[in-house]
Amino acid sequence: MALEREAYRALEDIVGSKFLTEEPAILDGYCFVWGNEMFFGDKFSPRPHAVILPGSTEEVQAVVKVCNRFGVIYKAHASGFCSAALAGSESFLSIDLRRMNRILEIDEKNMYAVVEPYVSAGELLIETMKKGLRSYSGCSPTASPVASATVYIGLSPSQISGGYGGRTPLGVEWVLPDGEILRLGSLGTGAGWFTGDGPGPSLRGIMRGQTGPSGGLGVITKAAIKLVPWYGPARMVTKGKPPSYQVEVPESFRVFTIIFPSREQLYEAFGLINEEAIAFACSRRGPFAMVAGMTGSNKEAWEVWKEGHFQKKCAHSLALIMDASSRREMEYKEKCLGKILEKTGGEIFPEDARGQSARFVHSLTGQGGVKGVFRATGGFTTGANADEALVAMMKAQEMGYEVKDKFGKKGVVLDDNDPTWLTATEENAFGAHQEFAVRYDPMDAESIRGAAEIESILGKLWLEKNVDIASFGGAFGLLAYEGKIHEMAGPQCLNYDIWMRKIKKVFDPNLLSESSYYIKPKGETSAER
Amino acid sequence: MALQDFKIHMERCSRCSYCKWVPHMKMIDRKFATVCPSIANYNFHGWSAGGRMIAGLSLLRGRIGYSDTLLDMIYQCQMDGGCDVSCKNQMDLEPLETMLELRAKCVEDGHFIGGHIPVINSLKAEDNTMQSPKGERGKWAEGLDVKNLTKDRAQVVYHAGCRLSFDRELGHVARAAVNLLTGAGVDVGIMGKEEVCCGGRTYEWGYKRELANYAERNAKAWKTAGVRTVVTSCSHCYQTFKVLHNKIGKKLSIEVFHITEFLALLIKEKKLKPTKELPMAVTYHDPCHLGRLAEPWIYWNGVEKKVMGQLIVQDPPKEFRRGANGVYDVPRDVLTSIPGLKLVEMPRIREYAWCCGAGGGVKEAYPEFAMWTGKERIKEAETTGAEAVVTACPMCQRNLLDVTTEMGARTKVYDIVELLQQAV
Repeated sequence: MALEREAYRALEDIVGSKFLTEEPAILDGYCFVWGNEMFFGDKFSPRPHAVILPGSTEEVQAVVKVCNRFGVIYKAHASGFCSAALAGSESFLSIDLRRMNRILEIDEKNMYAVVEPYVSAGELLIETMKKGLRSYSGCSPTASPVASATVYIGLSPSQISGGYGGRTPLGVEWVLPDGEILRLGSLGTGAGWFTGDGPGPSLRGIMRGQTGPSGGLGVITKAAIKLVPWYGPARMVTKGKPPSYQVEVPESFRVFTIIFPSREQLYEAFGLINEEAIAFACSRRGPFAMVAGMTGSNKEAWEVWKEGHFQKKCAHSLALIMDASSRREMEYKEKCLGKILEKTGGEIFPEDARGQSARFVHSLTGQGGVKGVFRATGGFTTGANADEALVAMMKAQEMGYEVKDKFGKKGVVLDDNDPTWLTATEENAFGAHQEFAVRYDPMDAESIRGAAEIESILGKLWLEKNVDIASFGGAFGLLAYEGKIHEMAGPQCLNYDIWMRKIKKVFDPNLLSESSYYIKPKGETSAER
Repeated sequence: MALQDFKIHMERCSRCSYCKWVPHMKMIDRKFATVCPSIANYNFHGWSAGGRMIAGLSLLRGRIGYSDTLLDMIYQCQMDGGCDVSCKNQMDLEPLETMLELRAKCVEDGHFIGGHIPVINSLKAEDNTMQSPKGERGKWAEGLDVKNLTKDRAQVVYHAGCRLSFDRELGHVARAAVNLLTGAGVDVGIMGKEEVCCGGRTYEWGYKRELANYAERNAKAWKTAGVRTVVTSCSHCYQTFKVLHNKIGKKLSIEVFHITEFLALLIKEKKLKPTKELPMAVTYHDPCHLGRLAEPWIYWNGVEKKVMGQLIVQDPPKEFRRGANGVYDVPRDVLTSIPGLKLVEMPRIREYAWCCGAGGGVKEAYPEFAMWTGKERIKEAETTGAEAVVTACPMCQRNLLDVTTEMGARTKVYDIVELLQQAV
């Protein structure tokens, strides 16, 4: 559906005709993304009215004000690599922040980087590494650190040491849903970017809470991202040929795959590793994820899988990466690890340079995640996912195995023998993030249905058993769509959904910041209307 | 094949955007982190491989029809294959082949790009893409002591290609190549004004018939001349003879060499001895059609099947061409065989090199975009401190020369044979 002409002209006056379009051939590139088939029965979601590319905060603000003047629903995205970024229950103005791609500052002394939304995690990492620092690295090097920090989830394989996305924003520049600009933290009083908490408004709980509003509360135009020390070289040395590039693991790092006789022993070790704070990254990935991550094609993955080695040996395994600023520190960490393994019955699983490189690169950059989840079948969902204290996540996993396995054995989703991902996080009292990686064929209706059912069953089960709120707390997955999970979980959790709706209504009185993956006030979901 | 045959590839694009970037493990500086000139210049997602895959699917499904915008989206692309390398570093998909079929569909359905039409007409009338009379094709070789294969026979045919045959400023590169070959005692001849186009350049614009036509004509002419080997300075022609002929089922029965490959052999056999010092720092630009696009064709005719419930594999197993096996080292070896020459590398090289800007019909139809792309390459070359960019393709050389002229850049642009000729 086309925009009102006056609205279109007003938008064109802001960015010029070169950066605004309503050509269907271009618009279709903005409503097609993985996961859409779960919500819309097709990879194409409703086509946007138009796509606009603003180049500055001032242009973003002007665009949002025009939207408010003409009643145009809008949503901004950076990489656009998920349904929450590009899809909605109805058409909207898609704001592509690609032109806002500057690294404005890397403050080495105070350890933060000020970036615009389209700076990718991969880019920021290579620039901060040159200064002995490391930025947040998400689930893919193409992902946006600004988006991960402020509006959407923010998982990282190395979040135990680098921080979960939500822990990394400091000062933030925010174009509110009505077009006003709010600067959070020290930025709000002109004191710079160095803290998100003040002196100045500290509204991080509203800005993102657990997982962020997924575009439903305006547009973040700049953020200072916390950096942590990097003990590796200024530049990684990569050898080999595609698709099997290999990185030299730096001397200041150790890469281990550790196997355990049972899940319980794995969990115990996981808890101790968290407690002793020796990890750069610590993740459990199921055997298939390990195989997918270290092979160059499905053909190769299938050959390796048929050997049965990984299923037998790595059913209960952890990828542990350790870093250290000095040899003495590494000796300490290795000794500590030795004691943990002794206590928990773990042993080091020998891997060649290729396997080690794959684990290391994934932990550092998130690279390998795309092939790990999408290459196999073309489609992926997390089949219920959550972040909570480790003991809660262990319970959640236990509930999930049987459910997932049933569908796997039917052949409806990839039958990959325990596909859970568990990764440590430094918050939530030795917390963890967990997911059931469910790989399905996005062109096979039965496969899509199976994946969706797994998500639904587990999401409801967790609430029933008081384990956690699934769907990344409402940002991802079927139950996140139009806030279903909040309806379900709210009554068990101090009716937080009521407060979310109130916040939405106050900040976005015209209800124009697209909220299909956030929450809408009562009467505003497409089902209710 | 047709666009429909690539439907599953289009449907499985996750929109990860890896096609826009240099493979992440190879990124060393964010100034040189992108691999796709198209998305870097035009910004809307449709100008990426992923975006074109989506557009292809939209077209097949009837969601969109042809429009000027769609044609620009499809053709404002050098078809350089950087996207293909980056995508296939993670996925088992075929973005470049899909885009090629999308172009072929445009041509089949009667939708042409204005800037291409004079070239196609020239090809049909004069057997060259340079819009020049075919009778003047052999002029670059006037006075050269080399066999004329319309009358004589030789073991080796040197194929100059359309650009070197008609571009007055670059004809000396063809002469230098022939002189190096004859000087090394190679039994070489040329077809002179009877040489015709390889048909490869317009193939990647969507014109499939012309490739088949020229494939047959060239094979026949060389058979008549009794040649056993074709050597060419043009990377497009090299890719056509080496890869595309095989792809369309017309594999040549003679050997195919790029000039750098042949010269490297001669140097190894000590028939060419670079002994004169050439004290300069140079950087090498990998031509797309000699590098990632020149990986040998792997013929596959099979079906997809699922194992483990939903894991997609091919039957018989399919080897994907991922850009690893192009010609990268040989030109570098030739350069480093020159005494005194120092080779310094740019951040984006080999299978993840930035395109010169000229390919895919862009030089002909979107010259400003070709220039913009070339300028980005020259700026990248300048960061190495090299005084010259050296390449192994006349299209690359032409575009980079045009760019350095417009920029007023001090960086010189050479073909490898020019430097080697000075050193022997």
